[in-house]
Amino acid sequence: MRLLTAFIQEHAPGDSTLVQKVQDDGNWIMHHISDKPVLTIPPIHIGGFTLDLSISMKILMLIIAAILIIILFGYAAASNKKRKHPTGLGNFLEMLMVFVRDDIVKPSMGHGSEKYLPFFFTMFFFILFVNIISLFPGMSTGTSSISVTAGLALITFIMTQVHGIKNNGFFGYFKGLIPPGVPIFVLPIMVIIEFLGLLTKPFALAIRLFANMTAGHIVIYALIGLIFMLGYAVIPVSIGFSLFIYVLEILVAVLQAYIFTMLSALFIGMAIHQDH
Amino acid sequence: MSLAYIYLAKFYNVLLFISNDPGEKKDTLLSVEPGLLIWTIIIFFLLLLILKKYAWGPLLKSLNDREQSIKDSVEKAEYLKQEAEKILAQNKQLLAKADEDARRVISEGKELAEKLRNDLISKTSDDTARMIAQAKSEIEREKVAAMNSLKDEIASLAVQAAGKIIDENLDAAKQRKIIDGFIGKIPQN
Repeated sequence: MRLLTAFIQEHAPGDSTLVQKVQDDGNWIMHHISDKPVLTIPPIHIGGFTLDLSISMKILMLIIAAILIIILFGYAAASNKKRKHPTGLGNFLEMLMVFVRDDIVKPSMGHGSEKYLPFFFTMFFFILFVNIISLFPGMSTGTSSISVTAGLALITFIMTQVHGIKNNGFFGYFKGLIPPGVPIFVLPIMVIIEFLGLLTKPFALAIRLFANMTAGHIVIYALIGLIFMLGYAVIPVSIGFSLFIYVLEILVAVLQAYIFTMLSALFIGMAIHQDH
Repeated sequence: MSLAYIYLAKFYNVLLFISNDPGEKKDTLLSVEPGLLIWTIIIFFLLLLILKKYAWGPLLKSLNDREQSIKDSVEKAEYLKQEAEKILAQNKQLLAKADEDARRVISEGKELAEKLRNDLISKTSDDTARMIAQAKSEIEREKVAAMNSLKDEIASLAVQAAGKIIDENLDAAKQRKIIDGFIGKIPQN
């Protein structure tokens, strides 16, 4: 903040209201991006650690997405069971499932991916639905919170370690992390690098999803804010660009669900089949 | 110019996730809230459990069943096609054989007929020749017989004539006349 005020005083000296204005406008965007509590639950104190389990706007979005998925796919399951040839919604959702199975999970994981399909289906459709419902007016973006994406990345991280250890044995898994044929003197460095690699993979997942879903919204808000900053003359430009970013966000919503699922499948597949 | 700087500064403010109010809880974009994280994990696994039971299981089963049945159908169609092609080839072969047989039978019949005709013709000409020869020999024989009977007749006539001559007192001239007359009476052959 000090940096910012210094920046303004350097370039626009003597304008004291400008600093306040910049702060206000920043707050305005922050206000729309950040979380709002919906149902407050008194925080739980475990040791010196406070856990606030209040239902916030973003959690509400996650719950809405989850309920939507259950309703849609429950309907699809019932509808596809009834007839031999799926039609309408059941057919469409099944098409998406086949896409996830044949174009995301199978190429990334290789053989033995059938066992993990329910997990990846859930992951893909959960992220997809959270991303998509964030595009409706009045909704908040669940995945534009680093906590939510970190939770999802943590799930991938835990699944990677659990299934890696399950398939290769505890020592076999950690030994397999280091590529074979590494000279002895490089070994200590490799151990550190591979261990950091384990942690950076989910970290990158979390940041990627969070940043992609947040950036679009910030840009839209900034374009709208331009109207109030520069006057009504920029309305066509602002609206036009906002619309463009909005359409782009639809693409990003689908793309990020795809990328998150594909990378998760890749990491878990790599942990399971360490030989290549 | 300053407006551009202000706008730049605003982005800078937001992008660095700076909390502007010092009294406010440190709630910036990059701070991880454990509550939200735990809720996310809980919701995800609840969703996974419910969907696994009520959606992914049945959907995957129907999908796999359908894919299997399509695969089976295609394989069966392929097999049936091969079988049909085999039968068709067999039929063609049989047809060709039947055709050849028919041709052979016809040509054999033709040959036989030709032979029969030739046989018949040669036999007929033989018969004819034989009959002609027979007829010829009959005629010859008849002729000989006729000649013999004629000779007998002539002899008897000669005897009769001789008797007449003896009866009627013949002279040489008269004799001559009688014999000439007699011979003249004999038909020419």
